[in-house]
Amino acid sequence: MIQKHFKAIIHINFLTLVILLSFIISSQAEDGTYSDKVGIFGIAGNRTNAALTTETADYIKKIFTYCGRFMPEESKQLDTALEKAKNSNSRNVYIHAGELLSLDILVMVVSYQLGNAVYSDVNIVPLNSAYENFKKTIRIKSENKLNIPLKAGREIAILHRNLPVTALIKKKYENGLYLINAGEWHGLRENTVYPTQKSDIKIEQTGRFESLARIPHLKEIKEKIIIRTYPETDKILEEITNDISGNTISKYSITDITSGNTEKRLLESVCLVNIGTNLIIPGYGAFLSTSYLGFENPKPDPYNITLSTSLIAMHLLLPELMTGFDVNFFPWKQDSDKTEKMQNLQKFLWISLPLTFSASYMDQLAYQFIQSEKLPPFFKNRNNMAGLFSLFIPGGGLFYKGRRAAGWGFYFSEMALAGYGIYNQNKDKGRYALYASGAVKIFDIAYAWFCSSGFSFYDRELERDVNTPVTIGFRPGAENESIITLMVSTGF
Amino acid sequence: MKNSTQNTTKHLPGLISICFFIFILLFNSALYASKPLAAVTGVKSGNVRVLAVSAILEDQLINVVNTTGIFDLINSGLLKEQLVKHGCIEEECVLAFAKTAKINLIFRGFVYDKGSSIQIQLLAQGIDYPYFGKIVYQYTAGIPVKGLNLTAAEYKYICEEHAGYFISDCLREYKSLTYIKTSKDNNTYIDSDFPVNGKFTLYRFEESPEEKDLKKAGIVGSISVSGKNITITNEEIQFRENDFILISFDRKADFLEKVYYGRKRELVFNGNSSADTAIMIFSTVPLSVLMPVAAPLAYYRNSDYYGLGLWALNTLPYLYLEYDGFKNRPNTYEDSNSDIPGKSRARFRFGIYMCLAGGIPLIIDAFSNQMHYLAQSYQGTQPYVGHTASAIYLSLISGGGGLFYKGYRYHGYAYFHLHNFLLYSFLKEMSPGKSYNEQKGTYTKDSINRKKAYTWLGAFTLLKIFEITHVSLIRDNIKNGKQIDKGFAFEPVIYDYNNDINIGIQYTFSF
Repeated sequence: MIQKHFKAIIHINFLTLVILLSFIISSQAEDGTYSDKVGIFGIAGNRTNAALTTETADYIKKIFTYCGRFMPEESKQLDTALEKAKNSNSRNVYIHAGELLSLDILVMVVSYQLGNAVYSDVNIVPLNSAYENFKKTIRIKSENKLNIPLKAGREIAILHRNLPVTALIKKKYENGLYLINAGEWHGLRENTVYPTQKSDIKIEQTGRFESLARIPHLKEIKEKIIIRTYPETDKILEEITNDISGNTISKYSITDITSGNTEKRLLESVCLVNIGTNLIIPGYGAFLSTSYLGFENPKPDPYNITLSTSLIAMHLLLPELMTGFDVNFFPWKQDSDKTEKMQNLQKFLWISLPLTFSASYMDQLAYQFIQSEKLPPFFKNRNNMAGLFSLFIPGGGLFYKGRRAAGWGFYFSEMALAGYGIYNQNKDKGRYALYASGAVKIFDIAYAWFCSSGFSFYDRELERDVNTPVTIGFRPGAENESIITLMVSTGF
Repeated sequence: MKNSTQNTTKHLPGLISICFFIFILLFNSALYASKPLAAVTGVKSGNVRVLAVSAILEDQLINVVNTTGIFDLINSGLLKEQLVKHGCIEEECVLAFAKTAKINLIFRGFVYDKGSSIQIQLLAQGIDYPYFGKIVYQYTAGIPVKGLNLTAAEYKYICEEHAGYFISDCLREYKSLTYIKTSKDNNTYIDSDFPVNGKFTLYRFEESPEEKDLKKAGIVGSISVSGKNITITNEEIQFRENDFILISFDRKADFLEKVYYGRKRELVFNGNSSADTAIMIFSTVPLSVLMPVAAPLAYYRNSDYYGLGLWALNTLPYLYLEYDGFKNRPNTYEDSNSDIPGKSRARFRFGIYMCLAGGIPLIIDAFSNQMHYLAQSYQGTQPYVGHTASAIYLSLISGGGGLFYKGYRYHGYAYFHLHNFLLYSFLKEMSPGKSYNEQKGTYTKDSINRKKAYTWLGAFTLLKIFEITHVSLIRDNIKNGKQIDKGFAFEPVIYDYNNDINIGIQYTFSF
């Protein structure tokens, strides 16, 4: 037993010593062993917002690491420096802490909630004059807490766009070989030639933070080289955008208000329920069918009801109106007044009636989704689903994506061209009309697949609604005094 | 004051180093070992929602590393405690620690909440040559959680599986630096705890000004090793102490992978029963006949709308052929004493095939895809699936049936189309049209292009052989989650030692 405890104590001592030693090795790295440094402070206002602030600060740290230009400083080091700074009566303790740690840039994050929206202010303060252009205060807003860290991370990734690797020469060997303080972490690859400000250099061997580079022109120790390789920000931004989209879809999912499988309910309502209700109550049936998806207190769109009722009436009465009510009402009965082409048109209008029911229903659905700020089922695969809906329903994909006017535009174009084509199918103009209808259908599918969503509450979350209302900066004056700058900007 | 502090700082490492070495010499037996020294420095959670999963993953990672028997693993609990206590969390400090402690390989990871899934990222970083801190292997996978019943028990299985595959893949990539040593009686040997066998490239470090810098190594030649003994294959090679070879652990990696796959099969499948295969054989015809109705209903019941869409796009052309074959069957032409087109005879025959056996792969897909999805996340034991005999039978009688049965939808559809295309082409050649002779009142068969027919048959046979071999060899698709990327960073610099010619090898693989 004693032996067991003794061994544990020895282990702890051993590890403590090794870690201390590692720390000293790390802290002696001021001669340029590692990269430029960033300190990230999460400034917690109250307990409610503390978790979000910490999460945002951690995510920002992750993005800095992904981009590989600024090494995040250890949290414990930051805390220690902050304590020292607090005791020094400096004006801005965070900036003073950053200076104590010789950081290159400082990021201060504070998150808070106002009403339904959550905000995060990310203040980036360069402490190294080389990064003066990094100075900015970004305010991020979201109605979904989960998106705050992602949006803050997105801004940090954007900041890294076109930022080359700045490396220091650490050692000089024979044969033009130099040890530089940038490696795999910064995105350098072995046996790869990179352009620099003067000439190309070849990376012969990489470590995580160091590399052996063959540099043709002579360099001195501690000299800087700018290696023109850039972080893969597009890849990071794509991943972040996907995550923001995923969180937003989860937040606005209709699953929250309805029990059961909403995907199934949507398909059932399109294929069966809506057709049935429209047969019983033409026009208004489309609105009634929306309740199958479980909307709370839905209100019908009167324009949709008026339009769809008129369209259904037109489907049934157009041949009658064209012939002054001389032809038989039913398409399968041909009388002496009903020409063959009129009968074809009548058949087309009756057969295509379910398409109008469906277009009307999809439009009512879009209205309900917009009103209730909910997203339709399958929204994660919205492009495929929109394409599929447009394949079967004229303008269906556009309605599905919340673009109601465009949906009706395609509906009228396809139906009018198809009807005209059927009516004149034995003539060239009829055939051309059918071809045109096919072309519009293809365009409808493609447009539905490619177009962005028409749900503003979803788009708002994905957009970069960043503004920099207030920018505060510090700079040294001529007599060693500190000058505080305050800028208020507004868009016009 | 500043100078005094600097001096203290300057001497502190030395003092600590002395203490450190005393401790090492007296107590830390791990550092005497010839096994590579490894450390799990923690699995961090991206947010509190996945804190529990990260703890489970860390435990499982430690267990798997221990079970390999390849590494001496530093007590992970103590290590983590000390790292946290001293604020050594970031990669920079952890690597410096590993380098100081002469650790060869460190493992760490991250867990992120992605809403409908959990993303795990596991990394292995090598400390000594040829890595110098670089990532040896990185494993990123998404674990689905939506619509699944996942308790701590399931998460434990899932984390163990991912840790197992990660370590297995990592061992396949990791090259352990192993020195040549000279004993007291001047015998040279390989300084390894493992039996090393085979032919190896012998490396030697080039002159390096300082021990801690990046070192380049050149190729000295190649040697054969058996156990610990070295055999020179080329007389001109003059090896010396501290030359080294890089040994890999491929066999162990294969073994680990087999173990984790085998264990999972036992957990999620219902055992290997020939009765299931018999049931499959007897139900082939009724299931195939019912396919046009049963398959879409099954997809719909399982909420597999993607499968339903694929079914509609892929099956409708064949259902049309079947329908047309029966509607315009040869009898209808015979009744009206008209010529029977070859196309009609071929479609009729193809229709009979589709009805009796050709539809089975799609009904299998409708059920097996869902069963494999549940099996992947340890959602109970799945009946009927997991028997290689059933898979071979299905591939024998239909196109892609075995692949669908093993859970590979895209492979299944590829074989399904190829099979049907070749079979229909063969049937078309073997079903010549029949011309009605009004005078004689009889039918005369058109000629058959036998060469063309046998070519189609040959291609069809080859496809079947290939498909059955594929089905026999491929594992069941029961691996949890989806591996997002796979990266290898082993990029040794190979120099010709005498002529200073360098040949770089950069191997990157991702999917």
